[in-house]
Amino acid sequence: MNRSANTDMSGLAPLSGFAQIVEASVLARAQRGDMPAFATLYARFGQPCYGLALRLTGNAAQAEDLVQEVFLKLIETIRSYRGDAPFGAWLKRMTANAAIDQLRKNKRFVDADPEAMFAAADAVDASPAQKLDAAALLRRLPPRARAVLVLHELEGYTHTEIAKLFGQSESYSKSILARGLQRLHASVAEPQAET
Amino acid sequence: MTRPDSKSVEAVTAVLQSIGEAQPQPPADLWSRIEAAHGARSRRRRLRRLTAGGMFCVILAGAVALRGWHSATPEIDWQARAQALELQLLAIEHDNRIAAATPTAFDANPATSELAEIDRRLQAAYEHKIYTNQLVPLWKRRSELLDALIAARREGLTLTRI
Repeated sequence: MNRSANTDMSGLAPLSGFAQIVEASVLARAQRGDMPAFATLYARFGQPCYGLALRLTGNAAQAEDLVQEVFLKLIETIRSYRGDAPFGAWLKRMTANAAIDQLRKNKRFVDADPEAMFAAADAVDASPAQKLDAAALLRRLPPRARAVLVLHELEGYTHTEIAKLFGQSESYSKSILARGLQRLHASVAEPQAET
Repeated sequence: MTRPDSKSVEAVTAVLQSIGEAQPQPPADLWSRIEAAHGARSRRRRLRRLTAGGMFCVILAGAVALRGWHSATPEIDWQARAQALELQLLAIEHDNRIAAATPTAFDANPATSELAEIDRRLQAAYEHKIYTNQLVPLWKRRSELLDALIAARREGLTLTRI
């Protein structure tokens, strides 16, 4: 069976997001510094990269900055890509790392105390319409909690991996996730109670 | 911590699912912005490299020029000069029929006694097989003294001080 490079194992469903496969020739050209090859990589991975950045940051402008930073870094570091992991997985990790670095740089979120983090987020009120909007619900979470929730629940990261990314313990990751989920449950329950 | 009811669990699952399935599109001009940022960064790096290279070249050229200037400055062979001056002094003494200006003849004159002292020190150095740059100041001083003596002899004066 002649299966296309960018379809799943059944050969029917097209691979999407970071799971897409990159032709070796495109990678080789990119590793030689060929800008059109980077344009091809962006055409394929720009959207999943932006989607992940947006989910992690909850802010369109920050997500755009993050994608720019990731692709600039990609242009500089692609020579170090040895193909040990699929290219998409490598790029996804680079995006997650960049987002977490951005969170760490932001002095407001340096405080690792979950209590303080959620208390600060409580100060921000949301309209009933926002409470029903999925993206707005995520935005109501403290930035670190949102990142932990996205990485664990949507991107399949383990607590061990998240703890390593944040430079924290596994129990920290578990605690943040539990509180984040609790916050989401409370948020979705509120509009139901109001109606 | 209260346990969430099944409705809110479903709702949160639906929320997360919708977020996971959403495929927000980046702005259409994002790649061109990335290309522009990359171009600007490359130009800055090239400029930094050029500046650093230029500065290195200037420093190198300066060092080469300084070395060239140093090597262009003639090294005076004070020993040869002193010996040549001594011959010149002897010739003047001979022409003027004055006693030869040998160190022993200078002993009576305070100015020439320094010359005799230098000769003694040079002799001692050679006896101890010292042939280093330490002798250069002695040969230089000997040349200066002989210069002064030659000038004094030409004017028919007796040198007492330099």
